[in-house]
Amino acid sequence: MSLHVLLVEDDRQLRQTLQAALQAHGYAVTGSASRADAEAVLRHHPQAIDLVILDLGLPDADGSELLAGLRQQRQTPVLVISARHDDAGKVKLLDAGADDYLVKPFSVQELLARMRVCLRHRGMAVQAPVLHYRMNGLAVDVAAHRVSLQGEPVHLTPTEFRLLARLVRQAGQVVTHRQLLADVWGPEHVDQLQYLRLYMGQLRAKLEARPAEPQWLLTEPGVGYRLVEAA
Amino acid sequence: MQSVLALLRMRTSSPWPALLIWLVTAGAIVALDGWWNLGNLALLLVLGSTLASFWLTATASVLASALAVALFNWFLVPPRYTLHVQLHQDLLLLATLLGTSTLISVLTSRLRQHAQAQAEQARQAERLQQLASRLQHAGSVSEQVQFARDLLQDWTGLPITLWLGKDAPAASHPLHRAWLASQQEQGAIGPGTGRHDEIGVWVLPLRAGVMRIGTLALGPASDPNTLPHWPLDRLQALVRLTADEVQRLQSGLQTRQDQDRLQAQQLRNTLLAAISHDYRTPLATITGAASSLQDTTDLAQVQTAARTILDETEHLHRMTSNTLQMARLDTLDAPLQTSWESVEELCGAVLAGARRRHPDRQIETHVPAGLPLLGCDPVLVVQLLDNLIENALRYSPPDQAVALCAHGNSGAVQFEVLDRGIGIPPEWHNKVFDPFRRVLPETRGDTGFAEATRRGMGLGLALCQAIARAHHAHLWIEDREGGGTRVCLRFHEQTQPAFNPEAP
Repeated sequence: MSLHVLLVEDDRQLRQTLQAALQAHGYAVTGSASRADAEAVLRHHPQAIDLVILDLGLPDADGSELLAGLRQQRQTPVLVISARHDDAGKVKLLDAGADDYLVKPFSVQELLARMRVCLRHRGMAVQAPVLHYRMNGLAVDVAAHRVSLQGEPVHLTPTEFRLLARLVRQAGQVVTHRQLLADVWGPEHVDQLQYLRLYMGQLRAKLEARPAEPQWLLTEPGVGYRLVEAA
Repeated sequence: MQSVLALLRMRTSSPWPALLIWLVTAGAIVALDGWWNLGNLALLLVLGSTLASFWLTATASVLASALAVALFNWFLVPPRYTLHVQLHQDLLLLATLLGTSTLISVLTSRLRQHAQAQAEQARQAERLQQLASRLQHAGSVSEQVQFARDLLQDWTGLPITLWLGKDAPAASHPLHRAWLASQQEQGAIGPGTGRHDEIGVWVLPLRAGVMRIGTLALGPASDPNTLPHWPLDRLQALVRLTADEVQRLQSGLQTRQDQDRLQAQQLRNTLLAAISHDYRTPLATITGAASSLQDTTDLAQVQTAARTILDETEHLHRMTSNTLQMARLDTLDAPLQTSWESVEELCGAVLAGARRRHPDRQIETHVPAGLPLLGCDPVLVVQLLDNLIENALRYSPPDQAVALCAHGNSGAVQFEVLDRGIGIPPEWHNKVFDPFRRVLPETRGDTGFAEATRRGMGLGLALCQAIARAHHAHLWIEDREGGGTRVCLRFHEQTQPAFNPEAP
């Protein structure tokens, strides 16, 4: 049976376009234009939902309310799609448990790629946590505290390592500034963005050949960081 | 003369100096009795009476003088120790003495009253001037209220309460009843006004012209006798001045708001006209490409049309986000959403976008390590640099690289976007930042970029300038040595956030 996607988007044109594109790639898609409708589908649809694609602005509620209601009951992955000028809203959703976000306009290819990451991640979450990362010559062994670049060991400070390990845990997905600050420095430091900026700078200086154009440690402006998904 | 006037301004609260003067005068007369004749002694008495009158009220002074003349008669005028007067000339002397003393007493007293009134007037003028200058320098109405309250409190020694506009004391407020009573009255109410004498406080309307803009209460005094000491008319003058100044500031603020609104409206109209005009071009292109898709089955044509649609929508997207951001900045009274950002990441975000849109173009970058963090709104700064890169790519030949650089200079951070394009004539270096201005193709000389210059609506650089201003950053254009354009964006030095580095 194909994977079942719930597409919550109030714009009919965009919903139909995405629905057609996703169906063409083998997903079963149920469209929904409002929070009420989406909740009804989640509760009563005979085929369980495997992934939710959620638009922020809904006619009867904010997307975050739907997310909050959903998170109380189940761990279905949620991919947020939003317009660009609403960074605060995106961050709030990610902190509230959304898995990833996409800024409109986006290409269908990118949406499909992000969906695959979301689904794969949920699959892994129930198995062992990610302890090894290997991509393009960068290798991280979280358990052994070892990092190597093209086979050469790299010396990281304890904080730099904790930061990298936190990103490895969710490789391929965006991790918000708040999440990183809370997990690496502690919950009392969630507003000290400067720590993150400076340590990310140090980390890139040690790992990336061209820190302004990183190949592993990607910046999501205004939101957080993303470690490139391991191949 | 000055010292006499100063003496006259003194209040008549203490009669002791007068008593002392009379005692000294009496002593002198007794001591000189037998040495000086009667006429000279009488002059001494006149001198004493004059001096003493400075400290006494008119009546007290006249009575004192009369008593002194009687005693003079008793002790000194022959026959002594009787009130009987032996000689006609002595009688005349006594009469003159009494008359002169009385006259001097009355005159001195009047003069003193006059001088006191003058001094009080000068004080009042000074108060009015001080109040006016404080109120005129206030930036807001609440500041004015604060100043007026402080000054009046200082001068009257009584607590002042002020309600402006629709403000009213709560029902539990001790002055609620007084305030309520004053709303029914045109003038002041309270002790001595003949209206609501029993309330124990003075309540005055704040009146600017005929409009009542608020209410002022004076009191209650800790000592109930304090209140009537302050003449009501003097207080009223101060209150009227306060009302006028508050009203002036309020209407000034209102006028400025109206002007701002009008200006914003005009800008919006221009903006809307320009936007709707500039959206038509890409929309027409998309319509054309889409309709050709309907008719053709040729794969190459389909791909071309799809490419065109993607390019044009990308362009529409850029115009939309520029417009939105411009509107946001225009109405931005709230401070920017600033956070500490690293220069490297800002450049990285700009580069990533540019590379995605222009995979076949060569974009160079140079960002040295160790630049300070930048307190800025990252979305806005990225959009600014993004617009600059897009311009550089659009106005330079496809085989020429453009560059995005950043460097630090004694704490300041400067971004530069460089191209080898057609350049901008020097006289346009400032004008291109005005909204809806574009260097017209004919002023450029030739060129193979006529197609490129047709596009965009001249809002991009205006937005860049608005973003730079909002960050107190400096944005300017230079000719690049060797041809092309250099656009510079310079952020001032910022105090870096606290940070404890970790041992390596």
